Amino acid sequence: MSLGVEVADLSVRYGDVTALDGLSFTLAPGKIYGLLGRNGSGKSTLLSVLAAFRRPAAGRVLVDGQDPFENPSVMSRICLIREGGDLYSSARVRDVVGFAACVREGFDKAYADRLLDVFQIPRRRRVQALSRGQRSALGSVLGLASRAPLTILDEAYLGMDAPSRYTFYDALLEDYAEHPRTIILSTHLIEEVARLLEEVVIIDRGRLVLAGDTEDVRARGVTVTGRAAEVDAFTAGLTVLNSQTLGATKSATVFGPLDDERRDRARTYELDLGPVALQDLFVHLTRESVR
Amino acid sequence: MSPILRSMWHNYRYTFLIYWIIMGLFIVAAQIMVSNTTDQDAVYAGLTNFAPPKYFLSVMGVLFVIVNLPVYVAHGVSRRRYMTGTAVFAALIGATYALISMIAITVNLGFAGRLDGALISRVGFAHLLTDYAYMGAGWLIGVTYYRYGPWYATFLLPFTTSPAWLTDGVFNSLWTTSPFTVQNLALRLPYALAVLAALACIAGAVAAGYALARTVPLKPRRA
Repeated sequence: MSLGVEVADLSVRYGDVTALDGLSFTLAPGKIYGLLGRNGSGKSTLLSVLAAFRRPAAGRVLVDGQDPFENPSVMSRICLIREGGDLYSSARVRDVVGFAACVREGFDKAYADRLLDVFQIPRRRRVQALSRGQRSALGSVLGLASRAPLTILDEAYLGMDAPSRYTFYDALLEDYAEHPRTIILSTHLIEEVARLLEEVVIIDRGRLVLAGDTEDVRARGVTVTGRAAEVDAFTAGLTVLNSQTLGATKSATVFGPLDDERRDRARTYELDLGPVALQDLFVHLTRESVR
Repeated sequence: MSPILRSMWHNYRYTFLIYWIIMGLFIVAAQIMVSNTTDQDAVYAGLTNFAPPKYFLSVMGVLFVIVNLPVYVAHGVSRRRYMTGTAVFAALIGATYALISMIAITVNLGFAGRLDGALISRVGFAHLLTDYAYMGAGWLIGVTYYRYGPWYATFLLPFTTSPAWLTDGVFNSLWTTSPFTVQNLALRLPYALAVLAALACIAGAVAAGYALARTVPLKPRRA
C-alpha cells in the first residue's frame, strides 16, 4: 500500500517570512522521491505539512486524496523522521522502539531489532547518551520499521558516517523492494542518494523549481568529455555549469538539450556525451532561480 | 487498553511509584516527628493541606503537552486522539491519587480518633475535583508555553492557572489558608455550589486546553 500526494498552491508563513509560496506538484504512489533544496528553501516546512505536523496558511495538501491534518486514518499511515528525532530523550533505545511498536500500526518490531544490531545501537542506552550518528541511525531505524505507506526522511541520516549511510541506503532499497511504498528523502547529499531516486522535486525559496523523473531531469544537461580544445569549441555559446581539466582532457557540464546537429558535431570532434550529475544541475538551478 | 493508555502508563509508572514512595516516607516521618514534639495530631491533612498531589499533577499536566504531545503526533497519532486518551489517563490517575490521599486522611484521622465519614467523603470528592483542576491548569500552562513561547505564556499565567486557584478558592484549600490545623477542611461555600463551581472550572480548562492544542504546530527539531 502506497500513498500519493497532491500539493496545490501551498503557502506557509512564519510571521513575516514566507516559507512556502504557492507550491504545487503531484507525487504518484509507490516511488522513491528526492526532495532537494538549499538551506531555508522550505523543504522541512513542506514535509511537516505533509505529515500533519502543521497546518498550511493557504492552499491544499491531499495525501491519498484526503487532507492529512488531524485525519487519524491518514496520519497513522505517514511517518516523518526529522534529523533531531521526535523521541523521548531520557528513554532507553529499547523503550523508544517499544513505544513506536505500541502506538504505530504496522510497525515491524522484529525488523527494527535487526536494524538496531546492524547499526550497532545499544538497546539499554538512553537516547540523550547516544552519539549524533547513533541518534540518526535510530531515527532511520524507526522510519524504515514503521513500514508507513508514506515514509519521509528529512535529513534523518545526515549525522551518520559514510559506511552507516551506505548501509542505510542498502537497507532502504531492500525493504522498499519487499514492501513497496512512497518514500521521500530530503537531503543535501545529492550524489550519494541519486542512485536511489526515481523522481526528484527541487524547490527554492518556497517555490517549485523542477519536478520529474530523475533520468529526464538529468537529460536536461549533458557532460561533454574530450580534448580540451574540441570541448571548448563545442561548448562555445552553451550554458556551461561546471568544467574540469586533467592534462589535455576536459570535461564540461552543459545545461540544456542538444539538438541532432550538435550531437553530430560531437561525434565529429570525437567527444563523449554523458548524463549530467544531479548535483551540478541542482546547483545551477537553485543558484540561478530568483537569486 | 488503548495504545495511548498503555504507552502513557509505561512512560510514567516509575514516576508515580517514586512520587508515592517519597510522599509515604515524608508523611510517616512528619507524623512521628510532629506527634512527638507538638500536640498536633492529623499531620498529613494539617501539614500539607492535601497540596502535594495536586501540585505534582499540575506538573504532569504540563508534561503531557510539552513532552508527550509532540512525540505522539510525530508517531502518527492525531492531536484529538492523543487528547482523548490522555484525558482518560488523567482521569484515572487523578482518581487514584484522590483515593490514596483519602486512605491517608482516613488512617490519619483514625489514629487521632476523629473519624467522620461524611466529612471524609466530602473532602475526598473536593480533593478529586481539585486534582483534575490542577491537571487542567498544568495542561493550559504547557500548551501556552509550547504554542506561544515564554513571553506570551508568562503573561497568560493568571488565565492558565485560573482553574487551579479558582477551585482552591471555592474549596478553601489554598496553601495560604491556616496550614497547621484541620479547620481548613471546613468549606466556605455551600458544598453543592462549590462542587458546581469546581466542575465549571474543570470544564473551562478542558475546553480551552482542547481548543489550544487541537491545531498546535509541532516545533522544528534540531540535532
